[in-house]
Amino acid sequence: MLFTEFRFLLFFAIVWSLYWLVRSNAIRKILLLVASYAFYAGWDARFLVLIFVSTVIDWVVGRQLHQERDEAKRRRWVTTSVVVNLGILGFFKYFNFFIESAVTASAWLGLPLQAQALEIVLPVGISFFTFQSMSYTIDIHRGRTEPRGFLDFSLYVAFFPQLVAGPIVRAREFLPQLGSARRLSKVSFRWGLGLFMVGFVKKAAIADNVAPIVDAYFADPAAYDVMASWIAVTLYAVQIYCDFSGYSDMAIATAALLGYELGRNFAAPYFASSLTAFWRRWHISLSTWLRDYLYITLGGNRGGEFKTYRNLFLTMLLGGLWHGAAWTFVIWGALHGLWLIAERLMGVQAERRTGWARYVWIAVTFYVVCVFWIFFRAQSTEVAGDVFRAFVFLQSSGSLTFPTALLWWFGALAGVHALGRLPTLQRLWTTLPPLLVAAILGAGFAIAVSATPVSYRPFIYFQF
Amino acid sequence: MVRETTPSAGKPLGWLRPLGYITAALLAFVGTARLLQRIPRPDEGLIDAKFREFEARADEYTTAYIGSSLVHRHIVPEVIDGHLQAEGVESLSYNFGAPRLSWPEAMRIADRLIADRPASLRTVVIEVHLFVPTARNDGAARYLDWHTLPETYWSIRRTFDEEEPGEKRRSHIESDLRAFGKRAAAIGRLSGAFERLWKPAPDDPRIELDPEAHGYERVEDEPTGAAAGRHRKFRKRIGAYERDVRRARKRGEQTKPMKPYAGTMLARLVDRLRAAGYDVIVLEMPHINQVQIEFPDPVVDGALTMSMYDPVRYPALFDPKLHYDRVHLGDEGAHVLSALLARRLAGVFRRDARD
Repeated sequence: MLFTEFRFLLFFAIVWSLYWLVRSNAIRKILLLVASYAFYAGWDARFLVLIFVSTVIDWVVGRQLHQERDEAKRRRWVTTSVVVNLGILGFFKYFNFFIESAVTASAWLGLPLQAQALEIVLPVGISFFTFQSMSYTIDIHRGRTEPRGFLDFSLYVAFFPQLVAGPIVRAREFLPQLGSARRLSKVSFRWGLGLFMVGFVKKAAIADNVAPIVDAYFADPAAYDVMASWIAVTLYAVQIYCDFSGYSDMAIATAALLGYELGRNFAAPYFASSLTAFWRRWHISLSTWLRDYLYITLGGNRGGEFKTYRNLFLTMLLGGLWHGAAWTFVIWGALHGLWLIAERLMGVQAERRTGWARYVWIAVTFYVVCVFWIFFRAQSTEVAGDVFRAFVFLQSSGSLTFPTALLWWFGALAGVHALGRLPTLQRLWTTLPPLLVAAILGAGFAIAVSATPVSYRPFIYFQF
Repeated sequence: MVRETTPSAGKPLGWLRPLGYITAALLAFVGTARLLQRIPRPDEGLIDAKFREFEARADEYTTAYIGSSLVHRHIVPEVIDGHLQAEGVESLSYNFGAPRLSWPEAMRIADRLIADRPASLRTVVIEVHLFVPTARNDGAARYLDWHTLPETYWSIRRTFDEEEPGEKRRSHIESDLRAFGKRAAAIGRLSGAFERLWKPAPDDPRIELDPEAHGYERVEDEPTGAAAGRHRKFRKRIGAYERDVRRARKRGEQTKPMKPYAGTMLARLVDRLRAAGYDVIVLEMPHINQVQIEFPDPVVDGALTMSMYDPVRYPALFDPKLHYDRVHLGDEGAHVLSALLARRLAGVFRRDARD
């Protein structure tokens, strides 16, 4: 069930109505839990067992961590949680990748190895709910949060607005919100519905329309000319941003309409003036998760320069692998790691605020990010190589192209995106008469629906 | 990291105000969707191709044939018009047949003809073996196009009138409501316009028809290979087909009434076309998998009925040598059928001319 589908809107309308009709906070939470499990079952009911088992294990671990005083035993408990969650993730997502890589490597070494890949179905959202669940046990171990009742914890893991594609929510930020009944009078409908519409437009009207152009190019980049490579790669940057941030917007909005805060996940990342700043604006919930639970656990910047760079590189490398079980994702992560190290070495400030030069750096950063996106999108290293040669070295023997009008369209989108961040416009939205807001939302949704391609495309991040 | 918080709404809400806001939003949505419906919808394929061709000479055509593949593959306008002209009847026919044409699609074709008002068009022939709408093509532009409010109503009503099994009915209704919603919301129109910006040639190339054929296409030329598969199967089971033909001959005058939905849709089609001033002929094609239809009267609601489903009177139309598969005649068989039909039509048109 995608957020842009009518049946989700119907599902949410029913859940929302029942939720606010009920007064008891406990019953509301039960309702949300049942709805969340039903939402997940809509993707694949077989994996409800998986999410339940993961929930039970981490809840038990959380309680044991809280009760146990012996540090060695506490470490064993948290290790159990990490091993179980990463084991689940590793099996479903990476088993075949490792098998195939081992076979390839052994063949390269002249030691042919026969191994059978399994037909494994990837549970939707597994990368998100395992990370989310682990953050609970790790935070309890670190003394940053306390265990909660089974109902609250189950809802935290399975909460449907963010279950399948984030944002990855921290237990210490979300669980306290479950402690008291939300109040309808505190919900800002113009903010929530406005954010939902923005997300809907990004995902259905922009990302889904751009996808066929990108797909056509990446299916056979050698057939296209250099201009086509620039158009396709730039539009991929648009697609992935709109697809993922659009989904995040809708997730945050649906949670807000139920009275819960999920926290921002994107902050205009393509306006970052350095890659360091980019990672403070892009998929904020993941980048902070990796910082807090991987980078810091590895030692962070506490072990000297070499270890700092090593930890940074490993964090980005594993962050790349998190996105997908393929070497192109690993390369993508490695490239980001290397560039971040380079920025550190050069003493680059996260945000360069040097007048007009800032805009130059924004363009440079966007270009670098686009180059790295090539590896993220390409379905193989060979394809990545073709696209890289065309985009960076301007070399292509292909003749197919796309209308350059698409670059103007991209420019217009960038302009609208920049305008949308103006405080003046944001203030204007909060002061318009409610009837006008309602009419704008109605008309906006009609335009967004009309811009939706007739056949639905899945969210890109649902593979993770 | 600064956390954004949800700004507070302030005062409590009464039920009237939210109702007003919802109404405003819905009105704005509907109004905007109506405007967006003016954006041309995507080309849906064969029917649009036929209308493009028809409209190039719209004012010359005198007769339009609407039907399923039994029209698309069997009605050869060149043959019919040749015979009629030899009998002194002015005629230029257009074949609006389309494989799997459903009743609501036939209604849409009729509506487009009525709206276009071609100067010379006098007669519309409706073939009765049209398909009941199913969700099989859910998602196709052609499926969306007919889901207006009345057609959606009749399609859903059919599942109750004909007592479809529960699960099938539920799935059917869901598909109809979804398609109606998509059409009413003009879903995909803006997307289609954007696609035309960067993709001048759509994935399925616009269908180009033979302008000399006036909509007819030989079943032998069917491009996907599905027809060839049916042909091979038919050649292997000619014995079974011949047995069925003998059974049909023995059945003789035995007929079966139309199902309620088909009967209602036929009556609506006839009424609409006659109200627009057209003569209507209801045509039954030979179809060995069906029993002959019982028409209540030679004249159904003011339309003339005509049946070619008669193995005794028209044995050639059941000759396996002229058949491509159990249901469809090959090109030679289509020519034979068209010639036989033309002889019957000549009598009708000459009588009408005298009247």
